[in-house]
Amino acid sequence: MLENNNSRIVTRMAVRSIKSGRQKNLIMAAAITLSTFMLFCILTVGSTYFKMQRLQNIRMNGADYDAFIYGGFTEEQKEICEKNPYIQTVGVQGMAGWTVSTDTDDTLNTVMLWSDGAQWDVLSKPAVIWQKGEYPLKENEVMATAAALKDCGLEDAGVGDTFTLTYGDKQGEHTAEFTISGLLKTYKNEKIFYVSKPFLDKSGFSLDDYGRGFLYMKFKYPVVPERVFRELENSLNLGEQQYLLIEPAAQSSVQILAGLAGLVLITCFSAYLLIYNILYISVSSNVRHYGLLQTVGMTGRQIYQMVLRQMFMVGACGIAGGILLGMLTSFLLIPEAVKVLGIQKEEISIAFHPAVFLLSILIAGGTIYLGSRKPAKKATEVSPVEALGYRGDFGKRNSHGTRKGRLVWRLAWDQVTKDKKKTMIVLLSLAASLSVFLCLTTLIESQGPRTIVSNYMDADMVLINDTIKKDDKNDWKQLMDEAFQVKIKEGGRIKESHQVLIDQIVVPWEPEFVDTWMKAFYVKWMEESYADIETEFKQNPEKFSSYIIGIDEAAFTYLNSTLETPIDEQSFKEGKSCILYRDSLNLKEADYQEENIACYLYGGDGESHSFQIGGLTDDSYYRRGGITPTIIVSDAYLNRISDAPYVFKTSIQYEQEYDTAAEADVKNAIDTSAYPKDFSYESKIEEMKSVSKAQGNMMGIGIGIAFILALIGILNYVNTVTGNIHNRQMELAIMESVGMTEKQVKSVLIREGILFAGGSLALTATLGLFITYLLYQSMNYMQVTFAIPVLPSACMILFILCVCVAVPLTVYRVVTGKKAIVERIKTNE
Amino acid sequence: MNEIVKTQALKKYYKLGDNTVKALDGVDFTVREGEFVAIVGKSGSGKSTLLHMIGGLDYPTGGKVYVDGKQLYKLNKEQLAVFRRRKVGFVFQSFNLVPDLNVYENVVLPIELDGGHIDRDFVDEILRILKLEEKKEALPGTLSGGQQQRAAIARALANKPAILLADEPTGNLDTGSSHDVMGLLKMAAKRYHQTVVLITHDADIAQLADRIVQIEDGRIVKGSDVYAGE
Amino acid sequence: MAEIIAVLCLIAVAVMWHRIRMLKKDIYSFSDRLEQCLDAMISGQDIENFGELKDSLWDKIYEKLRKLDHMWLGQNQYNQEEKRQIKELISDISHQTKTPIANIKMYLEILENEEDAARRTEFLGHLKGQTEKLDFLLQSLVKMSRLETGIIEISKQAARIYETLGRSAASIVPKAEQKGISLFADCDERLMAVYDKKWTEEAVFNILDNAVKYTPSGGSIHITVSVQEFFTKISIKDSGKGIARERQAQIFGRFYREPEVHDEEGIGVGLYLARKIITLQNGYIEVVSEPGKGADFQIYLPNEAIS
Repeated sequence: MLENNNSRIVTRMAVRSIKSGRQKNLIMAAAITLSTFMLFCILTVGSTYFKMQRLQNIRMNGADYDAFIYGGFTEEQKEICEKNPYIQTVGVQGMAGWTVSTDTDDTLNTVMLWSDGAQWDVLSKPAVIWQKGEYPLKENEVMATAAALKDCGLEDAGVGDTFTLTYGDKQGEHTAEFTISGLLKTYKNEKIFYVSKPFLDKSGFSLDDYGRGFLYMKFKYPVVPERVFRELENSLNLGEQQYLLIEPAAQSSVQILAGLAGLVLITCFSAYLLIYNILYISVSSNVRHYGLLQTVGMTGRQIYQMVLRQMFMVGACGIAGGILLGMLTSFLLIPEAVKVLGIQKEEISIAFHPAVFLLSILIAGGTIYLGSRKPAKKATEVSPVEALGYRGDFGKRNSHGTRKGRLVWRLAWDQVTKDKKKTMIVLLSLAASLSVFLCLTTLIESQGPRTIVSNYMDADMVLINDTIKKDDKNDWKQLMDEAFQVKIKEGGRIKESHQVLIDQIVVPWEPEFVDTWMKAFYVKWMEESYADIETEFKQNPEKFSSYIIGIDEAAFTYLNSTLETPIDEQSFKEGKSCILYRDSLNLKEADYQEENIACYLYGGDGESHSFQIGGLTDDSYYRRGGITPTIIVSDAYLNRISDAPYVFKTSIQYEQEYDTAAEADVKNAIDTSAYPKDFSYESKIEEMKSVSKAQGNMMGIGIGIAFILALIGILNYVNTVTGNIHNRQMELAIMESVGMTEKQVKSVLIREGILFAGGSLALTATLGLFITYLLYQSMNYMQVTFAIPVLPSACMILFILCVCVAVPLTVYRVVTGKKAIVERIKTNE
Repeated sequence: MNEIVKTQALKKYYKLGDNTVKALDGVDFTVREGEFVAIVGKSGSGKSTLLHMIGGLDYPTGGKVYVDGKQLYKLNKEQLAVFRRRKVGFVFQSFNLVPDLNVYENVVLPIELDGGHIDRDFVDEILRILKLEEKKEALPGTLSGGQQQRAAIARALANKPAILLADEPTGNLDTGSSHDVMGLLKMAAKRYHQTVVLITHDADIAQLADRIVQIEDGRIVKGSDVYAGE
Repeated sequence: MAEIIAVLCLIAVAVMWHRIRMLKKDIYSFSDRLEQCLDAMISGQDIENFGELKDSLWDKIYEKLRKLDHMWLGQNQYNQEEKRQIKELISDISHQTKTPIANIKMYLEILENEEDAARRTEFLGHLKGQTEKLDFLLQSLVKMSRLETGIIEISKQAARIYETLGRSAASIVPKAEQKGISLFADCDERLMAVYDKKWTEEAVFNILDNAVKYTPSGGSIHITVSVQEFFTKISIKDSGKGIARERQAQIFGRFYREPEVHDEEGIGVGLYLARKIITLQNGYIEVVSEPGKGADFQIYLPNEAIS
């Protein structure tokens, strides 16, 4: 059937209709602009974030991978990885040796690595800045990074040049002549000689050796669910020394993506509600118009097309505006937003992926279509005869009988509950933006406590003696001596300070606990096996020295409270029992609580001290790093057995938290001490500063998002109220004509506003709060208590109340103007 | 001459609360081609309902309506809209013109909705006769009541419909304009061989018709038939 | 990639080909139907009912064809109707003229045998009266027949209404004076209208004549002229017995006479003619009356020429 070519008039009428309903369409276009802008920004932030994250990781890691197996791997494990449907590429890198010296330099740090084809061609490529020559194939060829050449003092060498290198591998040290088959420079600037497969084979290292073989994996999709990692980990049957290490970015990507998707959804939802509501109101108030068009012979299809075309035009303008606005602000906004999400790079190039445009247009367009479909349908369902007699739906009033309550409140309540659907839409729309605001402020406000690892005992400042880190005890200096301790307290702003004392000890071999410890320690931390060094340890335990730590009473009380089973304070004070640092070993406290450990001071008189093992702690505050166990005893006891223990750390509590003057006192004490450079410190104030800076940025963006959503919600409210008051103009005029004062009319309107505000706040306080709580808990790995930020919430409540009250009053004034009551009664006829 | 409108036992009942209002209760009514028929009756007598039924604006409760050989209420909603566009011209008491379109656009709206060729000479002639030439570009809001009604008549004529239905076309006008509008309606109907069915409660206006049909409580009580020969 | 593009192109071509095929089919079916309809029209048959009142091109064209067909048939019917009317008219004339002619014949016979001069004068008077009646009748019928068959052309020109009204009034004044009816006229001399002077004079005269006829002695007739936006209204209001509402539409019918006044002179074509004349000039006549309160005949003449 040949179609009648009558679509031109439909388009023209749509254009006319847009022109005549300018105000309404402007609001709609503005809403679409805002939503598209939001969508565009969210998508751009998302894509830029992912792109930059990727880039940052690649450059920092030196290769493009999502996870790797550390600690060597077996062929079976490689096969499992290759068969895993989620993994796209599996790359292998093997440690083939380390450089010792060249003719020009004998302190070399360059390692010799072999990469397989996949690793070299796929995974490493993105991290390479430039590359000359080829990957080595022969045993005596190397491909050198620029940094490695510099390390070897061969800055000027080029491809084809040869040099002599002494290097070490499993078989010992060798000297050989190498030809440079290629050069490259990576972002990470690693010092690497890439060697050939024959070289690796000759080195004696095997890929399943601990610390020799690395298996890198790249997943097919940029976003990898946690589940996939778990399944992979389980399927690999990892050995004791093997770890599946996952790029943190790959893990957090799901969360960030979910957050962005949530924002997209809420934006779309708000926009949908607004478009639906405006169109619905517009169609309802134009029933006569549509009825007339039907009488004249416009078919339902034509009316439907007309409404949709109208929306198409408004939508096209809005979307174009939104994308334009988004592109303009992207340059300012996106880098900041991306930084907040955790990208450190200074320069952030914005990713304007065509898919982002397409997706924002598609999502916005879809939202518009969904929002306009039902109202358009309603327009076609108008019956011409009903339209002929249409007088607006006022007078349609559900009877309430005689209800108690004051008249004004009752009138307001009736008005709000009259059209429940419309009211619900407006409430939802307002509540959506309020909830987002609540959610964002709560999350951002709690960002600090939630993420910052709190200092030891919540100290304001912890001073560390860096010289203690030196291996040779002779290099140690007593930085924080009595005089220093006195000096920091001179200002009177320091409440208390606690010293951690340290001395070096030797723990001799014994068949029970020490043997168990050493076995576990070697499995966990060392390349060699315990068996290799067992004899040596038994003979020369000095080579496997450790440390004894002395803590004061307050520190003990705190430490004791963290133990699984607290120990007796008295016996600890007297030096009968001690606490050991667990060093991440798989040891159970209960198994060793009855055993003893003995030690003697390193370089001392060799007097043995024995302690009962009271407990094991994981607090790395006491970690200094030794092979045999670190023993924690009371400072009193340590002072007794050692004539000069060093102060390792001092934790300081100020009289007032975050007192900068106190901090200045301490810093001053450091600066005026003999070795200011050997101090390092952790300051709560400084940490707080960096956190609040990040928080400030996040707050800005959060408020921006909430503001745009709030604007959409408020637009919806404004539009509904305008339509409502327009429709009620006559009713209000009649009320005034029967003696209602303007003041009373206004107080009805104010109460309506309060009901709207109250309703949306109630929704926010229930549904919004619930969602916020769930989100909060899902991110709350530090177990910080949930707290709603008081000030922002109060501001929000005040703001929404003001808006809800001000809008109807303003609209009322604009609508009624200075017209007489009679005139107003007439205008509606 | 041919019967252009014919209703058989036409019924239309409305539900109003618990009561059933019989707006039309078995109406047999015919209009011959070229006739100018006035339907008179008090308000609520069912005369407007009868007009709506003939114009395909509403579905009846029972009975049949034939217009130009078509049984109307076998058609679906879309077909009814096409029917109105091609075969019926409406003139109502008020609520006549599309406020967004100017007079000319309003007049040619039914033609354009049908994607039809606009006979500009014809439209211009109608506008000239109805003295709307100068108001062609004006929006309905700026016109007087009489002018709006004339524009409505022009629109009703523009598509050369088979039948012109007018529901109290002079109801909102003063006496002078009423007579003008009626005179023009009558004249135009003659000139373009139009069949006209007019509703009025005003006997003075009704007597301009060739035939007056009186309706009361949904039934035709009297139908005189004069001047059949013209 | 290349494969995908190739497949897409293929699909596009297939879709296009299908669409062109469908379009061709539609066009053929369109022209087939059009031909069928035209054939039916040529052979004078009813065109088949293809129309479904759909929003399609064919339906639109079909409706136009039907309209055209309808007009064609209508014109035929109109011509036949005209012929019938002429026949009817002839029978009317013959019927109406029978009585005066029979009377004349009778009077002539009487005259032939009558010797008495006084009686002869009396019958001659009767004879004259009958002849005048016959003359009047014939003239009316001739006029009417001319109107009826559309031979007489209304030739309109801009002219003063006052003059036309004056001439009509002058013709009726003697008759009015005879009955003692006073005639008032209120008309601006400058008022112009576009109308046919001769026939409008006749129409106004007919209405005045009718007014005089139904107004008792001592009554009055008022003529007022007013200008509206589109029409000039000539109102002729008498103080007669008025017209019952149910008869108001009938009085303009052919040979209509008020039931109670059969004795009055007239054949019931005056108002009919007046209405016809005014309608032919795109004007219209209306009567406003209530029994016992006189009748107001209103002639509406268009202010401007409407072709």
